[in-house]
Amino acid sequence: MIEGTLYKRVVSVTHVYLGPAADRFIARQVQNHLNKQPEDLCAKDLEKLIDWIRMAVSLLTEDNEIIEEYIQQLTLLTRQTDKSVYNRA
Amino acid sequence: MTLPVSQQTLDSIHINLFQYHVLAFSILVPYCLIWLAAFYAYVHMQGYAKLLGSAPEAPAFAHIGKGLKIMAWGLAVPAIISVILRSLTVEHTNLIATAAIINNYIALLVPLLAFTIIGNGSSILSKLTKTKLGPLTIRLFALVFITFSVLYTWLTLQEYRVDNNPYYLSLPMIILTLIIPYLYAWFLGLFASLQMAGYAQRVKGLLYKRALNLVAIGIVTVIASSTLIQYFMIIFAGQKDLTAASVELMLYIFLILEAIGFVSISDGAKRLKRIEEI
Repeated sequence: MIEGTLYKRVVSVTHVYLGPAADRFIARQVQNHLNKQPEDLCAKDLEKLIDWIRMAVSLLTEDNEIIEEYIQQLTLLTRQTDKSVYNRA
Repeated sequence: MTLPVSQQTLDSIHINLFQYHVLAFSILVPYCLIWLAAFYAYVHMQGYAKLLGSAPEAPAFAHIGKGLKIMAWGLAVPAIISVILRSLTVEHTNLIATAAIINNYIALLVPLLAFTIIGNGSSILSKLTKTKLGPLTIRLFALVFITFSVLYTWLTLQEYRVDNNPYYLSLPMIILTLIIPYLYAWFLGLFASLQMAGYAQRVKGLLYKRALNLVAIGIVTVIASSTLIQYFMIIFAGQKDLTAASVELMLYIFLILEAIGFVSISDGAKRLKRIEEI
């Protein structure tokens, strides 16, 4: 359940920072760096995706506060996803 | 610069031929820089619209890019045509009326087309965010625009009576084919600016908003300054006691404002493009 909506949750976090460009931005990161289709994004990809996102966003802004806040929000998603996987197990 | 100029033109702004060439050169250099800024702005905006592909906001930015393209060409082409026509009238005085009519209609066509197309784009953006202008904004806008329109109409008609009809058109033709279309174009342009500012305020995304604010501020500045240039040119034409220095200063202020607007659009569009490219 969580994995099916993971992409949407990443986009939802990104929407706060990139607005209407969020969906396209995350789709590109997933396709170009993880070589996957966005809908195939799973929990174990998150860490790698966050690294790529950090790199990409640091090219868009020098405002470290915003970058750290965004990454923190994404990291929270990783923890939520880990908990969910643990609970199901 | 090398085209002939009539003594009447020199007398009307109280300068000699040498001062005229200095004045023309000092306006020509910043004017060329503004053309460059305008072309740069529309190229980046159209580039951004292309990158958006099938995104819902793509047609809006494509319209805005097209409108900016018309404004960029509209800065260059009418100015060149006007200089050529004016220089022709030095030798062929029977062409003065034709040249004035052509100049006036070409000058009108640019804001009419550009502001209509930019307005189409800003309407799409407004619909996307369901932005509705508040009653206070609409009332304030109406008040400012009505004041602006009445003053413009009065000055134009005053000029028609006092200045021996510089438009070379009958009064009904001036009202129907110049005053009303100008007011319509300015209304569309200023309303598009309001819609654009509303969209920039309402749209989500911290980083996206920063880039979009630059585009919105640029569009508002370009539309407002180009409207004010057209507006004050009419006031200039009616004032015989204005010196070359005051004419130059006024032109510089508006040209600088317009250039700032185009630079802001380019900067914002480049940032938006980067978001789509990374």
